[in-house]
Amino acid sequence: MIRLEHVSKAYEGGVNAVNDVSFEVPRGEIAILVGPSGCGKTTTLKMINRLHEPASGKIFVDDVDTSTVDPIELRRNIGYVIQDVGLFPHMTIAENIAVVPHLKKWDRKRIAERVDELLTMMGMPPAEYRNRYPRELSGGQRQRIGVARAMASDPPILLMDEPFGALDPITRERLQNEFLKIQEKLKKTIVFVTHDIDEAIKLGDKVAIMRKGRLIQYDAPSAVLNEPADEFVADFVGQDRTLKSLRLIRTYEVMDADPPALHIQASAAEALSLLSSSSGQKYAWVVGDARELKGLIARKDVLEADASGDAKIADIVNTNVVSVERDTTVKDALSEMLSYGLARVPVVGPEGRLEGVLTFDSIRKVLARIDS
Amino acid sequence: MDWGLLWGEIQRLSIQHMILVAVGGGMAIVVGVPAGILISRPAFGRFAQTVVGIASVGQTVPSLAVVGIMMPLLGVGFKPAVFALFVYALLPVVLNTYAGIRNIDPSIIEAGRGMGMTGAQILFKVELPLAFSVIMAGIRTAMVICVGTATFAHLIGGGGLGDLIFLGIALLDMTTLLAGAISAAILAVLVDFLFGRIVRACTPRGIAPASSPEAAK
Repeated sequence: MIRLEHVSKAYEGGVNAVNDVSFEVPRGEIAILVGPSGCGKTTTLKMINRLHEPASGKIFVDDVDTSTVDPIELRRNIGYVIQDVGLFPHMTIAENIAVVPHLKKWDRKRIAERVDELLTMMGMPPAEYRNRYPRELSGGQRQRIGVARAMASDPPILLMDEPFGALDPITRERLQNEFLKIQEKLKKTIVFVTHDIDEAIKLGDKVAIMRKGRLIQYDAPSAVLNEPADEFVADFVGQDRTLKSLRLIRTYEVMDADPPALHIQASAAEALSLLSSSSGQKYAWVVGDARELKGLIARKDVLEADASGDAKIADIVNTNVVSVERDTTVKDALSEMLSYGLARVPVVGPEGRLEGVLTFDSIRKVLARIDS
Repeated sequence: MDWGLLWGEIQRLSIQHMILVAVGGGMAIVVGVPAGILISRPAFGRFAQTVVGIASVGQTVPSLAVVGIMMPLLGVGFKPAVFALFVYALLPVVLNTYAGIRNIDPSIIEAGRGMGMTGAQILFKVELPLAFSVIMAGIRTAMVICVGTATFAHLIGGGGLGDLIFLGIALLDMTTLLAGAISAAILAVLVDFLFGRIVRACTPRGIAPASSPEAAK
Protein backbone atom coordinates (compact mmCIF):
# COMPACT_ATOMS: atom_id res chain seq x y z
CA MET A 1 0.00 0.00 0.00
CA ILE A 2 1.28 3.43 -0.95
CA ARG A 3 -0.14 6.65 0.47
CA LEU A 4 0.81 10.22 -0.35
CA GLU A 5 -0.36 12.95 2.02
CA HIS A 6 -0.24 16.58 0.86
CA VAL A 7 3.07 16.09 -0.93
CA SER A 8 4.65 19.15 -2.53
CA LYS A 9 7.95 19.74 -4.23
CA ALA A 10 9.23 23.07 -5.52
CA TYR A 11 11.91 23.49 -8.12
CA GLU A 12 14.41 26.31 -8.15
CA GLY A 13 12.71 29.48 -9.24
CA GLY A 14 9.72 28.81 -7.04
CA VAL A 15 7.68 26.86 -9.58
CA ASN A 16 5.79 24.12 -7.84
CA ALA A 17 6.61 20.90 -9.63
CA VAL A 18 4.22 19.00 -7.42
CA ASN A 19 1.57 20.82 -5.44
CA ASP A 20 -0.32 19.28 -2.53
CA VAL A 21 -0.83 15.84 -4.03
CA SER A 22 -2.59 13.15 -2.00
CA PHE A 23 -3.68 9.69 -3.09
CA GLU A 24 -3.60 6.11 -1.95
CA VAL A 25 -2.84 2.97 -3.92
CA PRO A 26 -4.36 -0.10 -2.25
CA ARG A 27 -2.28 -3.27 -2.08
CA GLY A 28 -2.21 -5.20 -5.35
CA GLU A 29 -3.56 -2.38 -7.52
CA ILE A 30 -2.10 -0.35 -10.37
CA ALA A 31 -2.35 3.42 -10.14
CA ILE A 32 -1.47 5.29 -13.31
CA LEU A 33 -0.17 8.86 -13.13
CA VAL A 34 -1.02 10.51 -16.41
CA GLY A 35 -0.86 14.03 -17.76
CA PRO A 36 0.91 16.28 -20.25
CA SER A 37 4.68 16.60 -19.94
CA GLY A 38 5.77 18.82 -17.08
CA CYS A 39 2.69 18.00 -15.04
CA GLY A 40 4.77 16.54 -12.20
CA LYS A 41 3.93 12.88 -12.67
CA THR A 42 7.54 11.67 -12.87
CA THR A 43 8.58 13.89 -9.96
CA THR A 44 5.74 12.42 -7.92
CA LEU A 45 6.89 8.90 -8.78
CA LYS A 46 10.50 9.60 -7.87
CA MET A 47 9.52 10.95 -4.49
CA ILE A 48 8.13 7.54 -3.59
CA ASN A 49 11.58 5.92 -3.69
CA ARG A 50 13.23 9.15 -2.57
CA LEU A 51 15.16 9.85 -5.75
CA HIS A 52 13.53 13.21 -5.09
CA GLU A 53 12.79 14.41 -1.57
CA PRO A 54 9.42 16.06 -1.03
CA ALA A 55 9.56 19.62 0.28
CA SER A 56 6.52 18.98 2.41
CA GLY A 57 3.99 16.25 3.01
CA LYS A 58 4.46 12.61 3.85
CA ILE A 59 4.70 9.41 1.87
CA PHE A 60 3.85 6.07 3.43
CA VAL A 61 4.73 2.65 2.11
CA ASP A 62 2.86 -0.03 4.03
CA ASP A 63 2.10 2.57 6.71
CA VAL A 64 5.79 3.34 7.25
CA ASP A 65 6.80 6.97 6.72
CA THR A 66 9.48 6.71 4.00
CA SER A 67 11.41 9.68 5.36
CA THR A 68 12.30 7.55 8.39
CA VAL A 69 13.78 4.74 6.26
CA ASP A 70 17.31 4.64 4.83
CA PRO A 71 16.80 5.53 1.14
CA ILE A 72 19.17 2.77 -0.03
CA GLU A 73 17.23 0.17 1.95
CA LEU A 74 13.92 1.65 0.75
CA ARG A 75 14.93 1.44 -2.92
CA ARG A 76 16.10 -2.15 -2.65
CA ASN A 77 12.57 -3.08 -1.65
CA ILE A 78 10.86 -1.14 -4.41
CA GLY A 79 11.18 -2.29 -8.02
CA TYR A 80 12.02 0.52 -10.42
CA VAL A 81 11.57 0.51 -14.20
CA ILE A 82 12.40 3.50 -16.43
CA GLN A 83 11.68 4.37 -20.03
CA ASP A 84 15.29 4.17 -21.14
CA VAL A 85 15.53 0.81 -19.37
CA GLY A 86 19.04 1.61 -18.13
CA LEU A 87 20.33 -1.94 -18.38
CA PHE A 88 24.03 -2.17 -17.56
CA PRO A 89 25.64 -2.73 -20.98
CA HIS A 90 28.76 -4.39 -19.54
CA MET A 91 26.79 -7.05 -17.72
CA THR A 92 25.02 -10.07 -19.15
CA ILE A 93 21.25 -10.37 -18.98
CA ALA A 94 21.58 -12.70 -15.99
CA GLU A 95 23.91 -10.29 -14.19
CA ASN A 96 21.56 -7.40 -14.90
CA ILE A 97 18.59 -9.22 -13.44
CA ALA A 98 20.68 -10.28 -10.45
CA VAL A 99 21.71 -6.76 -9.41
CA VAL A 100 19.32 -6.34 -6.50
CA PRO A 101 19.51 -9.97 -5.26
CA HIS A 102 23.26 -9.49 -5.35
CA LEU A 103 23.02 -6.30 -3.31
CA LYS A 104 20.86 -8.21 -0.86
CA LYS A 105 23.56 -10.89 -0.68
CA TRP A 106 21.47 -13.82 -1.83
CA ASP A 107 23.50 -16.98 -2.36
CA ARG A 108 24.51 -17.83 -5.91
CA LYS A 109 22.22 -20.80 -6.34
CA ARG A 110 19.17 -18.84 -5.28
CA ILE A 111 20.10 -15.97 -7.63
CA ALA A 112 20.59 -18.33 -10.58
CA GLU A 113 17.22 -19.96 -9.95
CA ARG A 114 15.49 -16.61 -9.66
CA VAL A 115 17.07 -15.35 -12.91
CA ASP A 116 15.87 -18.43 -14.80
CA GLU A 117 12.42 -18.14 -13.29
CA LEU A 118 12.10 -14.50 -14.37
CA LEU A 119 13.45 -15.12 -17.86
CA THR A 120 10.92 -17.92 -18.28
CA MET A 121 8.16 -15.65 -17.01
CA MET A 122 9.17 -13.04 -19.62
CA GLY A 123 8.96 -15.67 -22.35
CA MET A 124 12.72 -15.62 -22.96
CA PRO A 125 14.26 -19.13 -22.66
CA PRO A 126 17.01 -18.83 -20.01
CA ALA A 127 19.46 -21.08 -21.85
CA GLU A 128 19.31 -18.81 -24.85
CA TYR A 129 19.28 -15.39 -23.20
CA ARG A 130 21.07 -15.72 -19.85
CA ASN A 131 24.53 -14.97 -21.19
CA ARG A 132 23.65 -12.41 -23.81
CA TYR A 133 24.40 -8.72 -23.46
CA PRO A 134 21.76 -5.98 -23.57
CA ARG A 135 22.87 -4.71 -26.98
CA GLU A 136 22.16 -8.14 -28.43
CA LEU A 137 18.45 -7.81 -27.63
CA SER A 138 15.61 -5.96 -29.34
CA GLY A 139 13.99 -2.96 -27.68
CA GLY A 140 11.03 -5.00 -26.51
CA GLN A 141 13.25 -7.71 -25.06
CA ARG A 142 15.35 -5.12 -23.24
CA GLN A 143 12.26 -3.62 -21.69
CA ARG A 144 11.18 -7.11 -20.56
CA ILE A 145 14.56 -7.50 -18.87
CA GLY A 146 14.07 -4.07 -17.31
CA VAL A 147 10.82 -5.32 -15.77
CA ALA A 148 12.41 -8.64 -14.76
CA ARG A 149 15.26 -6.78 -13.06
CA ALA A 150 12.81 -4.64 -11.11
CA MET A 151 10.99 -7.76 -9.91
CA ALA A 152 14.13 -9.77 -9.18
CA SER A 153 13.98 -9.66 -5.41
CA ASP A 154 10.19 -9.93 -5.50
CA PRO A 155 9.47 -6.48 -4.07
CA PRO A 156 5.81 -5.91 -3.20
CA ILE A 157 5.91 -2.50 -4.88
CA LEU A 158 6.89 -1.47 -8.40
CA LEU A 159 7.44 2.04 -9.73
CA MET A 160 7.34 2.28 -13.51
CA ASP A 161 8.25 5.46 -15.38
CA GLU A 162 6.88 5.24 -18.93
CA PRO A 163 8.23 1.71 -19.27
CA PHE A 164 6.67 1.13 -22.68
CA GLY A 165 7.03 4.69 -23.97
CA ALA A 166 9.98 4.12 -26.28
CA LEU A 167 8.58 1.02 -28.00
CA ASP A 168 6.81 0.73 -31.33
CA PRO A 169 3.00 0.44 -31.05
CA ILE A 170 2.85 -3.31 -31.75
CA THR A 171 5.54 -4.21 -29.24
CA ARG A 172 4.01 -1.83 -26.72
CA GLU A 173 0.62 -3.47 -27.09
CA ARG A 174 2.16 -6.91 -26.61
CA LEU A 175 4.17 -5.89 -23.55
CA GLN A 176 1.13 -4.22 -22.00
CA ASN A 177 -0.82 -7.45 -22.36
CA GLU A 178 2.01 -9.54 -20.93
CA PHE A 179 2.33 -7.05 -18.10
CA LEU A 180 -1.37 -7.36 -17.22
CA LYS A 181 -1.13 -11.14 -17.27
CA ILE A 182 1.87 -11.13 -14.95
CA GLN A 183 0.20 -8.61 -12.67
CA GLU A 184 -2.90 -10.80 -12.47
CA LYS A 185 -0.72 -13.51 -10.94
CA LEU A 186 1.67 -11.45 -8.82
CA LYS A 187 -0.63 -8.69 -7.56
CA LYS A 188 2.06 -6.08 -7.03
CA THR A 189 1.23 -2.60 -5.84
CA ILE A 190 2.24 -0.47 -8.81
CA VAL A 191 2.58 3.22 -9.54
CA PHE A 192 2.97 3.72 -13.26
CA VAL A 193 3.68 6.95 -15.14
CA THR A 194 2.60 7.56 -18.72
CA HIS A 195 1.56 10.45 -20.94
CA ASP A 196 -0.68 8.13 -22.96
CA ILE A 197 -4.28 8.20 -21.74
CA ASP A 198 -5.10 5.04 -23.70
CA GLU A 199 -2.36 3.16 -21.85
CA ALA A 200 -3.61 4.60 -18.56
CA ILE A 201 -7.16 3.42 -19.17
CA LYS A 202 -6.07 0.01 -20.33
CA LEU A 203 -3.66 -0.76 -17.49
CA GLY A 204 -4.91 1.17 -14.50
CA ASP A 205 -7.12 0.10 -11.62
CA LYS A 206 -7.02 3.78 -10.77
CA VAL A 207 -6.03 6.71 -12.96
CA ALA A 208 -4.56 9.90 -11.51
CA ILE A 209 -4.78 12.79 -13.94
CA MET A 210 -2.28 15.54 -13.19
CA ARG A 211 -1.85 19.03 -14.52
CA LYS A 212 0.73 21.66 -13.54
CA GLY A 213 1.70 19.79 -10.41
CA ARG A 214 -1.82 19.24 -9.18
CA LEU A 215 -3.85 16.07 -9.03
CA ILE A 216 -7.06 16.85 -10.89
CA GLN A 217 -8.87 13.53 -10.69
CA TYR A 218 -8.10 10.18 -9.09
CA ASP A 219 -10.63 7.59 -10.07
CA ALA A 220 -11.34 4.29 -11.74
CA PRO A 221 -10.79 4.41 -15.53
CA SER A 222 -14.50 4.10 -16.26
CA ALA A 223 -15.24 7.02 -13.95
CA VAL A 224 -12.56 9.13 -15.63
CA LEU A 225 -14.12 8.34 -19.01
CA ASN A 226 -17.73 8.79 -17.99
CA GLU A 227 -17.53 11.50 -15.37
CA PRO A 228 -14.49 13.68 -16.07
CA ALA A 229 -13.92 16.07 -13.15
CA ASP A 230 -13.50 19.13 -15.33
CA GLU A 231 -13.00 20.35 -18.86
CA PHE A 232 -9.29 19.63 -18.79
CA VAL A 233 -9.85 15.98 -17.96
CA ALA A 234 -12.61 15.69 -20.55
CA ASP A 235 -10.28 17.21 -23.15
CA PHE A 236 -7.38 15.04 -22.12
CA VAL A 237 -9.45 11.88 -22.22
CA GLY A 238 -10.59 12.85 -25.70
CA GLN A 239 -13.80 12.85 -27.69
CA ASP A 240 -13.82 9.16 -28.56
CA ARG A 241 -14.74 8.13 -25.05
CA THR A 242 -17.11 5.39 -26.13
CA LEU A 243 -14.42 3.75 -28.22
CA LYS A 244 -11.94 4.09 -25.37
CA SER A 245 -14.37 2.29 -23.10
CA LEU A 246 -13.80 -0.77 -25.27
CA ARG A 247 -10.37 -0.98 -23.69
CA LEU A 248 -12.00 -1.67 -20.36
CA ILE A 249 -13.89 -4.70 -21.57
CA ARG A 250 -12.34 -8.11 -22.11
CA THR A 251 -13.31 -10.25 -25.05
CA TYR A 252 -14.60 -13.12 -22.92
CA GLU A 253 -17.15 -10.82 -21.32
CA VAL A 254 -18.96 -10.15 -24.60
CA MET A 255 -18.22 -13.15 -26.83
CA ASP A 256 -20.87 -15.63 -27.91
CA ALA A 257 -19.96 -18.75 -25.99
CA ASP A 258 -20.43 -22.22 -27.43
CA PRO A 259 -19.87 -21.48 -31.11
CA PRO A 260 -20.56 -24.20 -33.72
CA ALA A 261 -17.63 -26.61 -33.65
CA LEU A 262 -16.60 -29.78 -35.41
CA HIS A 263 -13.96 -32.34 -34.46
CA ILE A 264 -11.09 -32.46 -36.92
CA GLN A 265 -11.65 -36.20 -37.47
CA ALA A 266 -15.32 -35.71 -38.37
CA SER A 267 -16.49 -36.73 -41.81
CA ALA A 268 -17.91 -34.45 -44.44
CA ALA A 269 -21.33 -35.95 -43.84
CA GLU A 270 -21.26 -34.92 -40.19
CA ALA A 271 -20.15 -31.47 -41.23
CA LEU A 272 -22.99 -31.17 -43.66
CA SER A 273 -25.56 -32.14 -41.07
CA LEU A 274 -24.26 -29.35 -38.81
CA LEU A 275 -24.05 -26.90 -41.68
CA SER A 276 -27.32 -27.85 -43.31
CA SER A 277 -29.18 -25.03 -44.94
CA SER A 278 -32.07 -25.56 -42.53
CA SER A 279 -29.84 -24.71 -39.55
CA GLY A 280 -28.76 -21.47 -41.21
CA GLN A 281 -25.20 -22.21 -40.09
CA LYS A 282 -22.71 -21.29 -42.81
CA TYR A 283 -19.46 -22.08 -41.04
CA ALA A 284 -18.06 -24.07 -38.13
CA TRP A 285 -14.83 -23.96 -36.14
CA VAL A 286 -12.69 -27.07 -36.31
CA VAL A 287 -11.22 -28.30 -33.05
CA GLY A 288 -8.99 -31.11 -31.81
CA ASP A 289 -9.41 -33.56 -28.93
CA ALA A 290 -9.05 -30.93 -26.22
CA ARG A 291 -11.20 -28.40 -28.08
CA GLU A 292 -8.05 -26.63 -29.25
CA LEU A 293 -8.77 -24.49 -32.30
CA LYS A 294 -7.50 -26.02 -35.56
CA GLY A 295 -9.23 -23.91 -38.15
CA LEU A 296 -12.42 -22.90 -39.88
CA ILE A 297 -14.65 -24.69 -42.32
CA ALA A 298 -17.39 -23.15 -44.46
CA ARG A 299 -20.45 -24.88 -45.85
CA LYS A 300 -19.48 -24.27 -49.47
CA ASP A 301 -16.04 -25.83 -48.90
CA VAL A 302 -17.71 -29.01 -47.64
CA LEU A 303 -20.16 -29.05 -50.51
CA GLU A 304 -17.39 -28.67 -53.09
CA ALA A 305 -15.22 -31.32 -51.48
CA ASP A 306 -18.07 -33.75 -50.94
CA ALA A 307 -18.90 -33.77 -54.63
CA SER A 308 -15.49 -35.28 -55.28
CA GLY A 309 -15.86 -38.18 -52.86
CA ASP A 310 -15.89 -38.86 -49.14
CA ALA A 311 -13.57 -36.11 -47.91
CA LYS A 312 -12.37 -35.76 -44.33
CA ILE A 313 -12.64 -32.46 -42.49
CA ALA A 314 -8.92 -32.67 -41.82
CA ASP A 315 -8.29 -32.40 -45.59
CA ILE A 316 -10.42 -29.38 -46.32
CA VAL A 317 -10.13 -27.33 -43.14
CA ASN A 318 -8.80 -23.81 -43.52
CA THR A 319 -6.07 -23.63 -40.88
CA ASN A 320 -5.13 -20.05 -41.65
CA VAL A 321 -7.32 -18.53 -38.96
CA VAL A 322 -6.71 -15.44 -36.84
CA SER A 323 -7.82 -15.79 -33.23
CA VAL A 324 -7.76 -13.56 -30.16
CA GLU A 325 -7.13 -14.57 -26.57
CA ARG A 326 -9.95 -14.47 -24.07
CA ASP A 327 -8.56 -11.55 -22.06
CA THR A 328 -7.73 -9.37 -25.04
CA THR A 329 -9.50 -6.03 -24.75
CA VAL A 330 -12.47 -5.64 -27.06
CA LYS A 331 -10.74 -2.63 -28.56
CA ASP A 332 -7.72 -4.72 -29.58
CA ALA A 333 -9.94 -7.51 -30.86
CA LEU A 334 -11.91 -5.01 -32.91
CA SER A 335 -8.81 -3.54 -34.51
CA GLU A 336 -7.66 -7.09 -35.29
CA MET A 337 -10.97 -7.79 -37.00
CA LEU A 338 -10.82 -4.53 -38.96
CA SER A 339 -7.25 -5.01 -40.08
CA TYR A 340 -7.88 -8.56 -41.33
CA GLY A 341 -11.35 -7.73 -42.66
CA LEU A 342 -13.04 -10.39 -40.53
CA ALA A 343 -16.72 -10.41 -39.59
CA ARG A 344 -16.01 -12.78 -36.71
CA VAL A 345 -12.99 -13.91 -34.81
CA PRO A 346 -12.63 -17.00 -32.60
CA VAL A 347 -11.77 -16.46 -28.93
CA VAL A 348 -9.32 -18.92 -27.42
CA GLY A 349 -8.38 -19.67 -23.84
CA PRO A 350 -5.41 -21.51 -22.36
CA GLU A 351 -3.66 -23.92 -24.76
CA GLY A 352 -5.62 -22.47 -27.64
CA ARG A 353 -8.94 -23.98 -26.58
CA LEU A 354 -11.92 -22.54 -28.41
CA GLU A 355 -14.13 -20.65 -25.97
CA GLY A 356 -16.33 -18.49 -28.10
CA VAL A 357 -16.62 -16.17 -31.03
CA LEU A 358 -16.62 -12.41 -31.21
CA THR A 359 -18.70 -10.75 -33.90
CA PHE A 360 -19.43 -7.18 -34.93
CA ASP A 361 -22.91 -7.75 -33.62
CA SER A 362 -21.69 -8.54 -30.10
CA ILE A 363 -19.46 -5.43 -30.16
CA ARG A 364 -22.36 -3.32 -31.35
CA LYS A 365 -24.44 -4.51 -28.40
CA VAL A 366 -21.67 -3.49 -26.00
CA LEU A 367 -21.40 -0.04 -27.53
CA ALA A 368 -25.15 0.43 -27.21
CA ARG A 369 -24.91 -0.56 -23.55
CA ILE A 370 -22.08 1.94 -22.85
CA ASP A 371 -23.89 4.79 -24.55
CA SER A 372 -27.14 4.29 -22.70
CA MET B 1 82.44 1.85 -34.69
CA ASP B 2 82.28 -0.38 -31.66
CA TRP B 3 78.96 -2.13 -32.29
CA GLY B 4 79.18 -4.07 -29.05
CA LEU B 5 79.56 -0.87 -27.03
CA LEU B 6 76.69 0.83 -28.93
CA TRP B 7 74.40 -2.17 -28.37
CA GLY B 8 75.22 -2.12 -24.69
CA GLU B 9 74.39 1.58 -24.50
CA ILE B 10 71.09 1.07 -26.35
CA GLN B 11 70.07 -1.57 -23.82
CA ARG B 12 71.11 0.43 -20.78
CA LEU B 13 69.51 3.67 -21.97
CA SER B 14 66.32 1.91 -23.15
CA ILE B 15 65.85 0.50 -19.66
CA GLN B 16 66.58 3.89 -18.13
CA HIS B 17 64.11 5.43 -20.59
CA MET B 18 61.39 2.98 -19.66
CA ILE B 19 61.98 3.56 -15.96
CA LEU B 20 61.47 7.29 -16.53
CA VAL B 21 58.26 6.59 -18.44
CA ALA B 22 57.03 3.98 -15.96
CA VAL B 23 57.61 6.12 -12.88
CA GLY B 24 56.40 9.41 -14.38
CA GLY B 25 53.46 7.84 -16.22
CA GLY B 26 52.65 5.55 -13.31
CA MET B 27 52.43 8.53 -10.96
CA ALA B 28 50.17 10.26 -13.49
CA ILE B 29 47.83 7.26 -13.45
CA VAL B 30 47.85 6.98 -9.66
CA VAL B 31 47.03 10.67 -9.28
CA GLY B 32 45.09 11.32 -12.48
CA VAL B 33 42.45 8.59 -12.31
CA PRO B 34 41.28 9.45 -8.76
CA ALA B 35 41.40 13.16 -9.65
CA GLY B 36 39.26 12.53 -12.72
CA ILE B 37 36.81 10.50 -10.63
CA LEU B 38 36.67 13.23 -8.01
CA ILE B 39 35.80 16.02 -10.42
CA SER B 40 33.17 13.81 -12.07
CA ARG B 41 31.20 13.69 -8.77
CA PRO B 42 28.15 15.95 -8.88
CA ALA B 43 29.36 17.74 -5.73
CA PHE B 44 32.42 18.94 -7.64
CA GLY B 45 30.43 19.89 -10.72
CA ARG B 46 31.44 23.56 -10.64
CA PHE B 47 35.08 22.65 -10.07
CA ALA B 48 35.15 20.35 -13.03
CA GLN B 49 34.83 22.97 -15.74
CA THR B 50 37.74 24.92 -14.28
CA VAL B 51 39.94 21.85 -14.00
CA VAL B 52 39.05 20.68 -17.49
CA GLY B 53 39.77 24.17 -18.80
CA ILE B 54 43.17 24.38 -17.16
CA ALA B 55 44.03 20.84 -18.22
CA SER B 56 43.13 21.57 -21.83
CA VAL B 57 45.30 24.67 -21.87
CA GLY B 58 48.10 22.72 -20.14
CA GLN B 59 48.12 20.20 -22.96
CA THR B 60 48.99 22.89 -25.48
CA VAL B 61 52.27 23.69 -23.68
CA PRO B 62 55.13 22.08 -25.67
CA SER B 63 56.72 19.10 -23.97
CA LEU B 64 60.19 20.61 -24.29
CA ALA B 65 58.96 23.67 -22.38
CA VAL B 66 57.61 21.49 -19.57
CA VAL B 67 61.00 19.79 -19.23
CA GLY B 68 62.72 23.20 -19.39
CA ILE B 69 60.56 24.65 -16.63
CA MET B 70 61.59 21.85 -14.27
CA MET B 71 65.27 22.76 -14.23
CA PRO B 72 65.04 26.12 -12.42
CA LEU B 73 62.42 24.64 -10.10
CA LEU B 74 63.87 21.23 -9.24
CA GLY B 75 67.40 21.23 -10.59
CA VAL B 76 68.81 18.47 -12.74
CA GLY B 77 68.78 14.68 -12.69
CA PHE B 78 66.29 11.83 -12.58
CA LYS B 79 63.72 13.36 -10.23
CA PRO B 80 62.96 16.57 -12.16
CA ALA B 81 62.78 14.54 -15.38
CA VAL B 82 60.26 12.16 -13.84
CA PHE B 83 58.29 15.06 -12.47
CA ALA B 84 58.11 16.72 -15.89
CA LEU B 85 56.80 13.48 -17.40
CA PHE B 86 54.29 13.15 -14.57
CA VAL B 87 52.94 16.64 -15.18
CA TYR B 88 52.74 16.13 -18.89
CA ALA B 89 51.03 12.72 -18.68
CA LEU B 90 48.60 13.81 -15.98
CA LEU B 91 46.36 15.85 -18.25
CA PRO B 92 45.13 13.20 -20.69
CA VAL B 93 44.56 10.80 -17.79
CA VAL B 94 42.43 13.27 -15.82
CA LEU B 95 40.55 14.48 -18.88
CA ASN B 96 39.70 11.01 -20.15
CA THR B 97 38.69 9.70 -16.73
CA TYR B 98 36.36 12.66 -16.31
CA ALA B 99 34.96 12.46 -19.84
CA GLY B 100 34.59 8.68 -19.70
CA ILE B 101 32.49 8.84 -16.56
CA ARG B 102 30.46 11.87 -17.55
CA ASN B 103 29.55 10.43 -20.94
CA ILE B 104 27.79 7.41 -19.46
CA ASP B 105 24.10 7.40 -20.34
CA PRO B 106 22.45 9.05 -17.29
CA SER B 107 19.58 6.54 -17.39
CA ILE B 108 22.07 3.80 -16.49
CA ILE B 109 23.15 5.70 -13.39
CA GLU B 110 19.55 6.49 -12.53
CA ALA B 111 18.63 2.81 -12.81
CA GLY B 112 21.46 1.99 -10.41
CA ARG B 113 20.35 4.59 -7.91
CA GLY B 114 16.73 3.53 -8.23
CA MET B 115 17.66 -0.05 -7.42
CA GLY B 116 19.34 1.00 -4.21
CA MET B 117 23.02 0.92 -5.16
CA THR B 118 25.21 3.13 -2.99
CA GLY B 119 27.41 5.80 -4.55
CA ALA B 120 30.49 3.58 -4.17
CA GLN B 121 28.70 0.58 -5.72
CA ILE B 122 27.63 2.68 -8.70
CA LEU B 123 31.21 3.95 -9.10
CA PHE B 124 32.96 0.59 -8.94
CA LYS B 125 30.35 -1.67 -10.54
CA VAL B 126 28.91 0.64 -13.15
CA GLU B 127 30.79 3.86 -13.84
CA LEU B 128 34.37 2.60 -13.85
CA PRO B 129 33.70 -0.54 -15.91
CA LEU B 130 31.75 1.51 -18.45
CA ALA B 131 34.36 4.29 -18.58
CA PHE B 132 37.21 1.77 -18.62
CA SER B 133 37.98 1.90 -22.32
CA VAL B 134 37.94 5.72 -22.40
CA ILE B 135 40.14 5.93 -19.29
CA MET B 136 42.53 3.38 -20.80
CA ALA B 137 42.63 5.39 -24.04
CA GLY B 138 43.78 8.37 -21.98
CA ILE B 139 46.42 6.31 -20.22
CA ARG B 140 47.58 4.87 -23.52
CA THR B 141 47.94 8.35 -25.05
CA ALA B 142 49.73 9.57 -21.93
CA MET B 143 52.23 6.71 -21.97
CA VAL B 144 53.03 7.08 -25.66
CA ILE B 145 53.52 10.83 -25.25
CA CYS B 146 55.75 10.06 -22.27
CA VAL B 147 58.05 7.85 -24.35
CA GLY B 148 58.55 10.74 -26.75
CA THR B 149 58.88 13.43 -24.12
CA ALA B 150 61.36 11.33 -22.12
CA THR B 151 63.93 11.88 -24.89
CA PHE B 152 64.16 15.47 -23.61
CA ALA B 153 65.08 14.19 -20.14
CA HIS B 154 68.67 14.20 -21.38
CA LEU B 155 68.57 18.02 -21.41
CA ILE B 156 68.13 18.14 -17.62
CA GLY B 157 70.39 15.19 -16.91
CA GLY B 158 67.65 12.62 -16.64
CA GLY B 159 69.26 10.11 -18.99
CA GLY B 160 67.32 7.85 -21.33
CA LEU B 161 67.57 7.41 -25.09
CA GLY B 162 67.82 11.19 -25.46
CA ASP B 163 71.47 10.74 -24.46
CA LEU B 164 72.15 8.89 -27.71
CA ILE B 165 70.08 11.22 -29.86
CA PHE B 166 71.61 14.44 -28.58
CA LEU B 167 75.12 12.92 -28.57
CA GLY B 168 74.60 11.94 -32.21
CA ILE B 169 73.43 15.49 -33.05
CA ALA B 170 76.39 17.06 -31.26
CA LEU B 171 78.94 14.78 -32.94
CA LEU B 172 77.13 14.73 -36.29
CA ASP B 173 77.19 10.95 -35.86
CA MET B 174 74.22 9.55 -37.72
CA THR B 175 74.71 6.01 -36.38
CA THR B 176 74.50 7.07 -32.75
CA LEU B 177 71.63 9.47 -33.48
CA LEU B 178 69.59 6.83 -35.31
CA ALA B 179 70.36 4.22 -32.66
CA GLY B 180 68.65 6.47 -30.12
CA ALA B 181 65.85 7.70 -32.37
CA ILE B 182 64.87 4.30 -33.74
CA SER B 183 64.99 2.71 -30.28
CA ALA B 184 62.69 5.43 -28.91
CA ALA B 185 60.30 4.94 -31.83
CA ILE B 186 60.22 1.18 -31.27
CA LEU B 187 59.56 1.68 -27.57
CA ALA B 188 56.63 4.00 -28.36
CA VAL B 189 55.11 1.48 -30.75
CA LEU B 190 55.58 -1.33 -28.22
CA VAL B 191 53.93 0.67 -25.43
CA ASP B 192 51.02 1.54 -27.70
CA PHE B 193 50.61 -2.09 -28.74
CA LEU B 194 50.81 -3.31 -25.15
CA PHE B 195 48.11 -0.95 -23.91
CA GLY B 196 45.93 -1.72 -26.92
CA ARG B 197 46.13 -5.37 -25.95
CA ILE B 198 45.31 -4.68 -22.32
CA VAL B 199 42.24 -2.67 -23.30
CA ARG B 200 41.00 -5.37 -25.63
CA ALA B 201 41.54 -8.13 -23.11
CA CYS B 202 39.81 -6.26 -20.30
CA THR B 203 36.79 -4.79 -22.10
CA PRO B 204 33.63 -6.84 -21.45
CA ARG B 205 32.00 -8.29 -24.56
CA GLY B 206 28.86 -6.27 -23.90
CA ILE B 207 30.59 -2.96 -24.63
CA ALA B 208 33.48 -4.02 -26.88
CA PRO B 209 33.44 -1.85 -30.02
CA ALA B 210 33.90 -4.62 -32.60
CA SER B 211 31.05 -7.09 -32.35
CA SER B 212 32.15 -10.64 -31.77
CA PRO B 213 30.58 -13.50 -33.78
CA GLU B 214 28.18 -14.27 -30.91
CA ALA B 215 27.08 -10.66 -30.84
CA ALA B 216 26.17 -10.73 -34.50
CA LYS B 217 23.32 -13.18 -34.23
